[in-house]
Amino acid sequence: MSDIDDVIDSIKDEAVVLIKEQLKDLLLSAAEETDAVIRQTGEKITYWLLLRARGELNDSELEALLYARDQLLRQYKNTLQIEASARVEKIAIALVNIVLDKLLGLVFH
Amino acid sequence: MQRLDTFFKPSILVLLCPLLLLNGCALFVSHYDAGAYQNFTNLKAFHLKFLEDNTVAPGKKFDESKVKATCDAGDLKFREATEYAAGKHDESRLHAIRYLDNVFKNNCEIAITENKLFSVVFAKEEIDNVKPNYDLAIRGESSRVGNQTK
Repeated sequence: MSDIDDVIDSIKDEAVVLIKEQLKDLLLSAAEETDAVIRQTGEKITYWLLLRARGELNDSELEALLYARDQLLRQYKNTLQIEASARVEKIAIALVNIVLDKLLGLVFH
Repeated sequence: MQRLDTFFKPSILVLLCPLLLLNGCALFVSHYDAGAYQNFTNLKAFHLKFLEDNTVAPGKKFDESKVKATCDAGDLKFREATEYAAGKHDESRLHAIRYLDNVFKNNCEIAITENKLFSVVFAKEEIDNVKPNYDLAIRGESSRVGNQTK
């Protein structure tokens, strides 16, 4: 929480008051997220903005880190979709196989 | 036996129909492929070595020709992996490679444009982005149907 306040305070430009409020809301939402990838993304972006404010990262480095995080999030979504589809297929195949291999031929009443 | 036949024929159809329908809707993804898994792990090692080799360290100097050669080699590796994945006809695997390739290309672009080694702070943070990106791609491949190692 104090890191998020530090980040917001480090942005001195008064022309971006609204953006600062939006940024704070998003960082606070990410911090409360149960999904680890989303929570870590909020923590990382807070940390990078602090590094930028301290001059330990330049704009192009910050941009590259944000781009890499964007690609990581896309990968995360893609992986979740693969896992969900594979799970459905595994259940469906197992279901068919168990009936065909184990139950076919048994007497049903 | 007559009773069994009459019971099972519609039952199997009931089970198989959703399976076929789901398959027709491309809900399923292609099965596990050891070659694709190996491509992800090889690319991960290559990309991380590229970042480590080009990070500021005592006595280390930026070598533009070496960076360009490594970026060219990486480009070829990603192209090969993409072509391999394209042959498997599954968009999700192509997406997985693209999200890795995009970051590698971006890292090459920064190194060449800025004409200097990556700072220690940047490299550490970028590795924290790159490593889990590959790990997710590998996790996705491992979760596919037919992976006997799981």
